[in-house]
Amino acid sequence: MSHDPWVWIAAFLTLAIFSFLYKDNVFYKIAEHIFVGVSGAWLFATYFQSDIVEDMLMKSFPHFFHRTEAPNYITLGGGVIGLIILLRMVPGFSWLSRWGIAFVIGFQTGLQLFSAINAYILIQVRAALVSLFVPRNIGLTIRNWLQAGGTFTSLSYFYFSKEHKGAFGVLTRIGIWFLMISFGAAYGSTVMTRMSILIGRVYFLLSTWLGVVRA
Amino acid sequence: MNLQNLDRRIIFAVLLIAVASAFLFPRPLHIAVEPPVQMAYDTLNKLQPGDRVLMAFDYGPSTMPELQPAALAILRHCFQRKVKVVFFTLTNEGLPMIADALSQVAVPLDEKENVDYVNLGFKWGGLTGSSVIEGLGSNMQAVFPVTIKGTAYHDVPLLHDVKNFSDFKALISFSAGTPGINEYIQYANARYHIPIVGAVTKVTAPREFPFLNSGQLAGMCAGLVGGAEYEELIDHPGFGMSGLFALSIAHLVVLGCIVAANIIYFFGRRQSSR
Repeated sequence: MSHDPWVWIAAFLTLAIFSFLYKDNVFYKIAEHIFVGVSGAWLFATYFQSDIVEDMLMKSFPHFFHRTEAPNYITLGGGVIGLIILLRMVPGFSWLSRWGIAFVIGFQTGLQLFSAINAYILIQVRAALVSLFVPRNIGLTIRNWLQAGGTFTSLSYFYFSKEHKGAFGVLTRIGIWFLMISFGAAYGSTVMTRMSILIGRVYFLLSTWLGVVRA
Repeated sequence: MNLQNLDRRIIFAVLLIAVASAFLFPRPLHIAVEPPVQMAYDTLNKLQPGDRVLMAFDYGPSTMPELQPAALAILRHCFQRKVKVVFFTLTNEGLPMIADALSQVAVPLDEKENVDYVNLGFKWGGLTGSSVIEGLGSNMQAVFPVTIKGTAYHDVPLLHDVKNFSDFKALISFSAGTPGINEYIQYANARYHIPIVGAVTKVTAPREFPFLNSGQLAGMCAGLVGGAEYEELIDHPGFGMSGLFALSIAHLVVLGCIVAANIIYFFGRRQSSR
């Protein structure tokens, strides 16, 4: 059994959270409130250090931090934009916050436009153009047919300018099958993820805390 | 007792007992390595001593059981190949994950900080991490002027001639969501062409397969299973292997519940129709 008090605290909090499965109780509430408080503090401390101290103050006033590089006052601009966004809370100046938000949205859109089209559309379309007959490789030929067929029929299902009847209806129904199989795989993977989390905590209790399982 | 109204807490208890039993009475499992994991291994196995890789720990305690086995196995593989590792994270929850990985792998292997590896720490790059990833592609020192311990970038021997992505052979992303592997594919791979190896949670794995198929991902370990497979490849069993048996037992319980529930529902419906 562990002699580390932090392990005991972690074990108590794990059991307290699990106790909710039986019913809501005071131990669960304690663990929940600790989690919210600690998360908030951790979030604030790490973001403050990363954004305000390292990215703005350290670069604008390096000598205060015993650093030798030249000051880069342009990083103060980020702080100014941040303050403009916070003006939303000041009556009479709240309209100014739109400028800051507009800058952030414009910057992000410009940054994402090229890379998103390239990574998610152009390269993916190129990868979808596969040969439907690969000489002396029946396995790859079947795989390519499945890939091309799955892509085409699934996309057909989302074409709503034509009624899903007749030959086109058959095509879209095949598309639904492909979609259902992918949703099933996704759901199975979700179950697997949740089970892994449970397994992690049980392993922690049996190994790190109680020591009945060898780590 | 009406089985159709079975108290769900009984199922929770059965599942808990099943998982605990799997750890108390473990059985060795034969693990077949899937192609995505083999691809990840092959990519990293081609690296030469002295090559550098970036490792992004973009996950936290909630996904630790799924991603930490792969992270530890891949990190061990890199150190075995004398590859230099630069750590960073786009999520503040990743900091303790890096610390845990270092204490479990780098310290026992006697790897030297700032020489064999360096931890640059956390940097918030917006909801998508785009500003940080773009920054790493152009000027890494501007993004991380100091390491997590406050050492100036230019004082770290490992980073002396490192400017941007072009000085690295691969980016290894341990990702639980956004920002994570998709953002590295979008910014780092599509624009700067750095090969990306990923370890992702099982729940996000299905959406990554198209990137594996297109070559945008050079390999992938999905969930606890992926970690166990990588442990098998480097012949160093860890939590991935032991957790896999528990996972199999848990899945059997879930499958048993699904079958039992359908049988109970079927017979219950027949009885009510009479």
